[in-house]
Amino acid sequence: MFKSNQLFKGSLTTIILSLLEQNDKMYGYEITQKVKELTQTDLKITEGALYPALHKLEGEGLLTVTIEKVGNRNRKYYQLTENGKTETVNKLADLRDFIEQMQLILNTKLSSQ
Amino acid sequence: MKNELTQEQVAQLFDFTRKHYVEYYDVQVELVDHLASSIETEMEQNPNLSFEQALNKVFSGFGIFGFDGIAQTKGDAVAKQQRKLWQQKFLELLQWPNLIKSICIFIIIYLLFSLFDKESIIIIFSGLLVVWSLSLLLKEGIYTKRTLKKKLVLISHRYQYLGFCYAPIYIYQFFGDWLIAQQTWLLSLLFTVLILELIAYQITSKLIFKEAKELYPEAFKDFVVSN
Repeated sequence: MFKSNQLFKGSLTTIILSLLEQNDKMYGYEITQKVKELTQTDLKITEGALYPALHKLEGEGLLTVTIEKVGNRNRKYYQLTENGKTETVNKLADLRDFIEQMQLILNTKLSSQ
Repeated sequence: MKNELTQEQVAQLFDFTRKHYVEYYDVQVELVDHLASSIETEMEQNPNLSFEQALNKVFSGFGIFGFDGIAQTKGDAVAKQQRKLWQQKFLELLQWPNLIKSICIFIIIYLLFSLFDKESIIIIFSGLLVVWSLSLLLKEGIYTKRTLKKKLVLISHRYQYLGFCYAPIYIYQFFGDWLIAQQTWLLSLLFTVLILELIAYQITSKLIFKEAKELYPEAFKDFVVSN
């Protein structure tokens, strides 16, 4: 079970990019719900953290937006750009490397104790 | 079954974002959809919850700073994105076939510097850049006032790049002798680059307005509601 969200805050952009890679296009509320669903509510992306991260990715040209009319309101959908797709692959590779390194460090420490 | 919020409740949410100092319509749209989706889920899970109670519960999810950080980061992101677009358009002016026009501008400026008094040409081009940029701002200001009925963060960061137009005036004012002493090709290059930057601004600005109208047509006065 995830007891701390702190570890995940640094990986928020990777989580968003990864979700968009799997789901083509998503809107803000849908992203928060998807993260909740995947982590069985242990990891909560707060709205105060999600939107600045989405806007930052949009500013970097990794996401593009479209607006669609849904019922009686407009909905803003985010989608990966070509640069975004490349960046997602790179970020996921970085994260895997980091996890491997951490495992190596922790295993070495544990075995030397 | 999930009950969709009514038109009045959605309008209430827009009021709510405005009361929490979110002045830009394009930021409001996203927040309203998030609040509405979240409220609909809350009311579905707890049918006894009123709309106002659900709204308060949902808003607490935004933390103690509420919408503050969101509006700020959106502005920063827009500024960054548009600066990149401006740089891209500038670089396009240095690529084929635009490069021909850019070289022509350089040659004309070079000839003017070679044929006439250097100082006079510096003053004329410095003044031209200022007048040109001010006329653009005025034109866009009038267009915005005539066509826009809601504020958009998407079109509020355009002016930030125009500061470069005033650079030659300042340089001339404080380092006039040094500027005049520069070689003709260097001065021609300087003014060519500044003119191209201004042309790139014009192209970027048009694209920004076009994108704003495509994404948020209801923010413009000529928008017709269709049922």
